[in-house]
Amino acid sequence: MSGLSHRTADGWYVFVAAFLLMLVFPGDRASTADDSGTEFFEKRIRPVLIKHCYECHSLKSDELQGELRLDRRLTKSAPLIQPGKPDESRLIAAIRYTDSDLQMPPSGRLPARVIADFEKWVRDGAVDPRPEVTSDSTKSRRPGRQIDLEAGRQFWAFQTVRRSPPPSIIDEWIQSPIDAFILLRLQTAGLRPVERADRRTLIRRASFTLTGLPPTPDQLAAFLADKSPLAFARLVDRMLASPDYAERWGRHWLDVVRYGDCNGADESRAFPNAWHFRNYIIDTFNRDLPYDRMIAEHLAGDLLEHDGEGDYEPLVGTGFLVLGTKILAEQDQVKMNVDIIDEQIDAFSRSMLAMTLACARCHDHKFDPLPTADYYSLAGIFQSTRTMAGYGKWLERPTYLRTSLSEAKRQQQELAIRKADLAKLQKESEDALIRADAIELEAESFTRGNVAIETTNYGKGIGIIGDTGVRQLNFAEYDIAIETAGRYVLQFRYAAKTARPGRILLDDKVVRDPAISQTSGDWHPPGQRWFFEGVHALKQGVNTFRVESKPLMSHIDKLRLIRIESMPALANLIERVDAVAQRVSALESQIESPIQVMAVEEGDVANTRIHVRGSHLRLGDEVPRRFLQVIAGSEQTPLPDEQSGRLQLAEWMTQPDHPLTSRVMVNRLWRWHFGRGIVATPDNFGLKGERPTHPELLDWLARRFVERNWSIKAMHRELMLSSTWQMSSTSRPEQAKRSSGDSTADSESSPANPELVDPENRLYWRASHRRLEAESIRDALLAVAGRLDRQIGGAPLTLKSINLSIEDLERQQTFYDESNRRTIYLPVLRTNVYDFLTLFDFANPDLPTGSRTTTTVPTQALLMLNSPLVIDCSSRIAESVLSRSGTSADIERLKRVYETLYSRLPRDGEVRLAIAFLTEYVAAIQSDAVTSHSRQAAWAALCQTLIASNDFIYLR
Amino acid sequence: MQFPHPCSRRQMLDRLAVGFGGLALNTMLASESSAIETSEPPRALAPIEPHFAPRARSVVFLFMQGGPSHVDTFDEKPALTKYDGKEPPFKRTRVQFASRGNLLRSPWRFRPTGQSGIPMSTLWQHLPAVADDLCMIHSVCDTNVAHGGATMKLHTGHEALVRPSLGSWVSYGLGTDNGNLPSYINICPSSIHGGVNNWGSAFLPSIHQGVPLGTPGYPNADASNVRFKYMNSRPTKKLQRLQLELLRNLSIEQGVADAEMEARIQSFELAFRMQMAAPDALNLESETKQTRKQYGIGNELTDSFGRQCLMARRLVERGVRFIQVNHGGSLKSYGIPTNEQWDQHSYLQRGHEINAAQIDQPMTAFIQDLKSRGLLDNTLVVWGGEFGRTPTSQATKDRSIIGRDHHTDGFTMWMAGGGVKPGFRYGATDEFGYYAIENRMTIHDLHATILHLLGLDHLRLTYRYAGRDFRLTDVHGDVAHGMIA
Repeated sequence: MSGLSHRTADGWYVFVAAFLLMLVFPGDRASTADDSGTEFFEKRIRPVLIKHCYECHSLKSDELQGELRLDRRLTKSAPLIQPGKPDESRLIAAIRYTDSDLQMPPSGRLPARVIADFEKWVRDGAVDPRPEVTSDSTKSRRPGRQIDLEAGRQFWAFQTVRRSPPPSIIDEWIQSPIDAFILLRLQTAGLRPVERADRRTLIRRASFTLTGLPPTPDQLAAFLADKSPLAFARLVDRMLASPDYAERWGRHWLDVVRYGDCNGADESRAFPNAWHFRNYIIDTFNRDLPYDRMIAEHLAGDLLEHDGEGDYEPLVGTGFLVLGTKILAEQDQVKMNVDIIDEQIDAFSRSMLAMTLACARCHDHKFDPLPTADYYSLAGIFQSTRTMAGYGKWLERPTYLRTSLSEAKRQQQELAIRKADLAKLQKESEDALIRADAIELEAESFTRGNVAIETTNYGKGIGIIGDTGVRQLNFAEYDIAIETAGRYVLQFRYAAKTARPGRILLDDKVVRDPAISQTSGDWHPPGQRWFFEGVHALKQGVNTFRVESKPLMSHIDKLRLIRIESMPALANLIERVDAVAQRVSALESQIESPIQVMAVEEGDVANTRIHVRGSHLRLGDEVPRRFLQVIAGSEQTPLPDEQSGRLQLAEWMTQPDHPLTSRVMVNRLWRWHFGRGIVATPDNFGLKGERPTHPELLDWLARRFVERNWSIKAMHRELMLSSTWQMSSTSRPEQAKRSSGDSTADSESSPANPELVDPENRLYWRASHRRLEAESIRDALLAVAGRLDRQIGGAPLTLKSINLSIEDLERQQTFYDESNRRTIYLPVLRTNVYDFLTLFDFANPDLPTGSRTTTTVPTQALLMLNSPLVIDCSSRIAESVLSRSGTSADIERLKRVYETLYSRLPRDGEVRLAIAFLTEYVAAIQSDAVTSHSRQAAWAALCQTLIASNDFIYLR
Repeated sequence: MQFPHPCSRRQMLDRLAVGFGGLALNTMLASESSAIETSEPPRALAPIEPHFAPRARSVVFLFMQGGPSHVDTFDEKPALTKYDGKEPPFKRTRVQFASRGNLLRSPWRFRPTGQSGIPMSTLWQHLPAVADDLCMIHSVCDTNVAHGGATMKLHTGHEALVRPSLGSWVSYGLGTDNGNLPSYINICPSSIHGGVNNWGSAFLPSIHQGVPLGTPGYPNADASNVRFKYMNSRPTKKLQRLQLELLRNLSIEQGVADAEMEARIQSFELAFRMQMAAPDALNLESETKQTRKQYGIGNELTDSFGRQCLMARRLVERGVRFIQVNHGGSLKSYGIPTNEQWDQHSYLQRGHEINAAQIDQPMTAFIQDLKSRGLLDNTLVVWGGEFGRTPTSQATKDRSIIGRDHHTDGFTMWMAGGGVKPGFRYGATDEFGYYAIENRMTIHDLHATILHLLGLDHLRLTYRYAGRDFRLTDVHGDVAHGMIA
């Protein structure tokens, strides 16, 4: 039983393990209770157990805690109960509340009198008259609700994506298969789609949807002039080809992958290199990287070859796994690690599977067929992956942009050759030196010194010196008698896994710095190697060498001196070594330096154990690393022992017949086009998510997506070239308008009022109004004011310091207010997101977001009325229209402003209002004379009001 | 055709943070400013009946950033004096922040205060005057050992994930009585240790997020010149009125297509009213000289916290639901190398003396003022930091600069008014002030209790998000009925 006594991090675990074993080998079956003991138990102990313990520790417990039952005989065995020894009984320790990990009952410490009773009871032999238990009753744990995977598979989201041909309806409204699906549902509800949107509305909608910017007056004019039936298709193609597209749609994806430029949470350290991931995403959308490849790069880019295009290595994609919010100040490092994995599982499952798998951390998923074992199977994969470089520091890996890669490769090749040369020469010289007559000393034979001598472990069998572990300047001095003066080669034999450079002094003069600075791969004796430490002129008589290092020191075994003159060939050889070594260091300093990106790598591969109720202090059964059983089945090919399984996870995710991958993404695309997904909860396809309004359409789109090689741009064309996309947002039914002159239309076939049948427009009988997202509002403001800087890529503001200072934050704020770059390039500080963005419902950068909300709060109005950005942009527009030659009339100016801001011309009523406003405003400023200044102010106020107005901020 | 769409009572109003209830623009513009102007709030903030009769209508949370030492302020432990310098005779918590020093006695003497005899150390010179209004909670426990985790847990119930803050839940659950001001105001907040997440609404509608008064910073902004962002009525009231009129007329011309667009126009009118109301609410000059003096305004040491407290009282009067007052900054100007205000890993004695002196008079005046105006009964005042400090020492044996580490498993907060037992001590730590052993009050319990006092059942105050119903207290939380009057 001695094996029981080992201590683990979790007191309860030992407690329970001991208890279970104790049941198998009851130590004290024969003991009988004496009467007074029984009475004491019944009066003082049992009532307390019933009142305070049974809720969690009895057959009646909803969920038996710690697999410990106290409603039956408490057999006397360590460590639960040690009869006669209350101080050694864990039951007593628990109720005494002296051990922070083991305090029972959790509601609070029992009164001192009760604790005293328990102590007395144990001291007196722990008499327990209740029935004994047999070993099989340890299985008496109440059976938990078992997830029925087979039943779970019947849920729509886990069913294979069906082949669903578009309904065969003939109708001139139908331009695309999408329309057939939509029309069928509308017809079933007795509805007709409304008319097509006018061309000005269409270009504005297309432009904001695809590029996040308004059309310029020139683009508008060109589109209006293009009378070809292909004009809209060509417009879509032009926009998809423009870099503006990727800056818009890359941002959508950044919502999903919860992009941030700093950690957020408790200690918000900057991610100075996160922006490479952002630019990688923009690049990815720009070149239309197939979606299956994109998520494979997110999960396992470090294990994939480059596909030959694009600026970034696939490695950069794994930034997805590193970007999450972490509790960097967590003092419990085990917990920190499991929390990081939890965040990865949450981000992965919600973004790519639309499953809330993180719910299964503590228990089987309450609603979806996701057993807690599945969570820990995936946890095993991420646990086997290295995300952190050390405590509180995430992993960053060097890589090259493709543009600098070829030069870097050439340099690296040369470096490799030179290094090989160097190694060969060093070996030659070492061989020559070994044959030479030498003065050789054991390092531990120093004359003076403060270093530690170690003859075990690192010095086992050889004896070494090293640092003492105390922070100090470590040194050892050697007085060496030399018979013949001359030039001597000095060598040290040492082992070092990481470099611990020190220096060497000869007769108090520094003769080599750094010295003993190389690495040998191991701290232990097998890592011991001879290293060249310079050529030194020694005098006849005593010469004193001193080696010193602070605060750590390589593990030095020996040193030796060889007189060069005794070996003529040696001098030449050593000079050659020196020459090559210099070339190597020159190359190393010139070499194209890599960029650092947040990325993962393979770690120590291991399965994990289930964390009982999510606690890292209570470990249950080990589970194999594998994928979701509801989709991949319970019999899965085991993942290789030497790989984390991320590569296989990526392969599994991107199988064409994966029921979720394609559905989830086409639904996201639909959401971003139409304002609501076919599944209205794009991040949750589970039982508690919404059901698809058009399941056949969803499946048709999902198959189409895979057939089109997972091309996102192809899906944009699919969606936008449909009548569904091109509808007006007005409530006028198309048929009603068309048939208005048709006297033969009988009342029975006239469509129902859609506003009553489907007020939420879930069936798509018209286009929905949509408020612009925060980025589009800001970018459009800058664009219409002529301030927008269209530069692509780069990092307009990098966060150099890991620890964000108040100055960083202030710099940030100023930068936000003054920058003219598109919003996607502004760093996202999770604890300090630019308020302009948060006010307009920017995605919470801590969590995957597939569907931003749209709120209307007074603070937005305050911003529109008072923000310097809005005011500045308004006066720039005013200035621009007032200074234009040839448009002297206010009406012409107003038309220009309307086309710039709204992509349309003012209606008569609007003209009247604007002119009246200008007059009143000027009068209010200056009642006597209209000066150019007050005119400018009035126009600026007019432009500001137009910007604040609904038509600027809503897409119709 | 039906589309099942589960929603809670508040959730259905999500998208429409501004309803149709506001006063018409012209009425609003015409109204003369009276002493305290209120108006009907936007629909998403409209007052909702609580689950049961509330004891408090509003909350003022006095947040002590950095973690005040309970054993030096309110939790008297003679054993620390007796065993000063000795190894503690108990097992320490599994996870600690930094130090493993020995027991350390308090440098201050304790004495019973008020009729109730609540012990307070001599750090408090003013507070004993209101001792009989305070309800000490000596058994707060179970939080994170680092500032960030503990601050976020105290404010949101979770130490890492972004969750709605307590104030946002309260705003969501109760709405507000005055549409001219935000329902949740955070005065001089800190930008560190979770920053905006500590007053954010996370997945709750953003109208419930705390509105900072003063730019969040570290050290926190000084209270003498704070304002709401974007409330600088730029041109004149007259000119902006012209703009608002044009805006409304344009919206008619453009066609108000749906409720959301209508709500947007209303929001401008509400914004305009807020712009009028806010400067008045924050105008401390309108208070008597006597009142300002009572709060310590004008005295360098107490000025900033005094202003915060007085603003809090004015906001309580105006029906603001949840107000946070922050005592957070740096003691560097006093030559004390402390991080956060109360974070005395070293210089315990000087640091705590300055800290207590900065707040002692203002918060005493605040409670007296609330009481004399009859507001204390309906207002729950909560005082405390993210954790306490260890009964053991840290840093050095040098008594002049010795300090204490973070301590999470038993520390003191107090409440006043709003239905708590006055002059009462709830819960207890062990004889060394290390573990809470009686009536343990976890952060979830604390939150459940605060909600309860406001008439809200923490089990029923839920929000559907990402496929499940979220609560402030997650799956935990017990109301501490024992401390409720």
